[in-house]
Amino acid sequence: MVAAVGDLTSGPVLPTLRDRMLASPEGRRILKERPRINTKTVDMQKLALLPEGTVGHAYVKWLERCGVTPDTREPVHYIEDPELAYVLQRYRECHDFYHCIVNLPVDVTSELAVKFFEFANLGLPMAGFAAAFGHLRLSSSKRERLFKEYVPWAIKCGSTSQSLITVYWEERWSQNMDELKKELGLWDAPETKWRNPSNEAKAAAARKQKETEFQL
Amino acid sequence: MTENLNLQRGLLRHISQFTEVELLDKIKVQSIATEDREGGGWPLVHLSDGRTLRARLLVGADGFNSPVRSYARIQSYGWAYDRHAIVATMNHPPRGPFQGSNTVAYQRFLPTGPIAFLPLSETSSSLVWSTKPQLASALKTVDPQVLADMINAAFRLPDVSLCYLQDRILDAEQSGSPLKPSQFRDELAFRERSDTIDVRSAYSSLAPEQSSAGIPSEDADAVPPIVTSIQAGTIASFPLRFSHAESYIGEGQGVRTVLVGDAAHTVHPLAGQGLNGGLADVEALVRCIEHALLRGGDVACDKLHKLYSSTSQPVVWARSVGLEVLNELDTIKAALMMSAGSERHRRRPGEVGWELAAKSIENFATGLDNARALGGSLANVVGDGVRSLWERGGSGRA
Repeated sequence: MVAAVGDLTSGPVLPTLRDRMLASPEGRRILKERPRINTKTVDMQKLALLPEGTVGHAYVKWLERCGVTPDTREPVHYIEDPELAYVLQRYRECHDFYHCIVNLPVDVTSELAVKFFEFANLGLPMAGFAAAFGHLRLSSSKRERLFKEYVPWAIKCGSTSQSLITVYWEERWSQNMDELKKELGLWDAPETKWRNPSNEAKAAAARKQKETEFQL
Repeated sequence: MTENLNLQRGLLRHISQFTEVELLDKIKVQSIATEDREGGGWPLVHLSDGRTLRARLLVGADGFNSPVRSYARIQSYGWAYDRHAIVATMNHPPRGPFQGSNTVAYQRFLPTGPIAFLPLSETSSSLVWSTKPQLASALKTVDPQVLADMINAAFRLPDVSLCYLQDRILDAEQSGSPLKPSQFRDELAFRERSDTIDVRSAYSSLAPEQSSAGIPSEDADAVPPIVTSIQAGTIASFPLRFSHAESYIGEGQGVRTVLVGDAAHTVHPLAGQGLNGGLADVEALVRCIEHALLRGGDVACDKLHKLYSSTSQPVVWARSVGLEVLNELDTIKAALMMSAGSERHRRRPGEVGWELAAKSIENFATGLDNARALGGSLANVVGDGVRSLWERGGSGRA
């Protein structure tokens, strides 16, 4: 349902996003080649083998820690123009990258923080609705923390950084994360509690690496 | 449409019949002065070969920056449109047998200005494209094949794609390596794919050479024929302005002068009335001169006023007042814009709003905290006060 509402309300803002993509050389390449992100098009095993600190490695680690995969994204149904439909699809598939690059997990507070961030950066109405009404589900202490720490960060970071829809993530797997953050003008979100602590995730990643090496 | 060369040739041939008409060629007018004579001097035209001509009636047909107009001290009002018109002669295949001959003019009103396709012959037509000055100069210098493709696209693609292609041409020119025709065609193909235009439809600019055989699609008449090339040496551009002289006839200091054509009025090429207006001026002037001569009058005396400008005085007055009002509105608008938010931030304009939102949410959240803390301590203070009052009262009672 969230996806359907997203399809229906994004109408006015998609042409702006498309124009921004056309204006940047990287965004233009994305529109010409129309890449997709799911487990079939992205070689997860290859990414896991990349050195620590690269975009690819961080992405795979993040997916492990949060226990999500890129295959669960609903495809776009209700947008007529093929190019605008692709822009919305691209946004949905890159949502995980936005989590990963600002170092936030997938619990409700962090999702809301990312929604605020997306609204400030991209201007999508669905992100705006989620931001405006999503926090009502939280307990008051969590809501306070959200507005005191996360929301000012999200708005400052989102509005000053480069428009993330123009980033061609697939070309940057082996780029260093810190370098990329500096290039885009981003910085990490305030500290938060992850479900799977970092050392556990490191162990899981090491296990996976051994598995892949064994297969090779 | 008739090519200018043909008009000029026809006129010259006609003039050569009259021995009374003398054409002075390859000579410039250096200056115009007034003869120093009692009872009003005639205009003296000093030529570059040393001769001077004394004019009973000096007709200024000398274009927008008319020296005759400045000699006659006639004011003119107007403004530049911040647009240039690109003109060129385009080659294209003839229309097919099912489409009739090439006698239909096409015009598309783009946000930056109209582009017009005006037929000259079965296989060539004239281009007039009013657009922004930077784009006009870029299109003049780019490879003519790119210009031909751009013209085809300008009549067929939606505005988003057109802006994109124009930006590519401008970027390439600014970076010092102008677009090659193959690169431009790649970008064109990308936009046609994105806009879901079938390569075989009339709206594709990349369609293979149209053969005259075969039945064209239904919408083939909605667009002009595909331009295959531009005739060499025909690409030019000129700035567009609107201007109108206060009077077409000189008075006082500038007596015995009259203005025709662009010297009197300059208009946008839309509807093609510039030259035609000038020709109509000449026709009217000739009638006045004939009328005066037949009645034995001096052709340039004040009566010419009444004949030549019988209805134009009220129009000229209204136009002058209107232009004054517009001038004032412009100034007010500029004043308003300058006073609103004149601080220079390093950031983009939209970011100031976001920064404000972020700060206010932060302040509000911390403010709530402070208020709660304050409220808590206030409650304590009040509670203590009430308690002590109660105790005192209690002790008093007891």
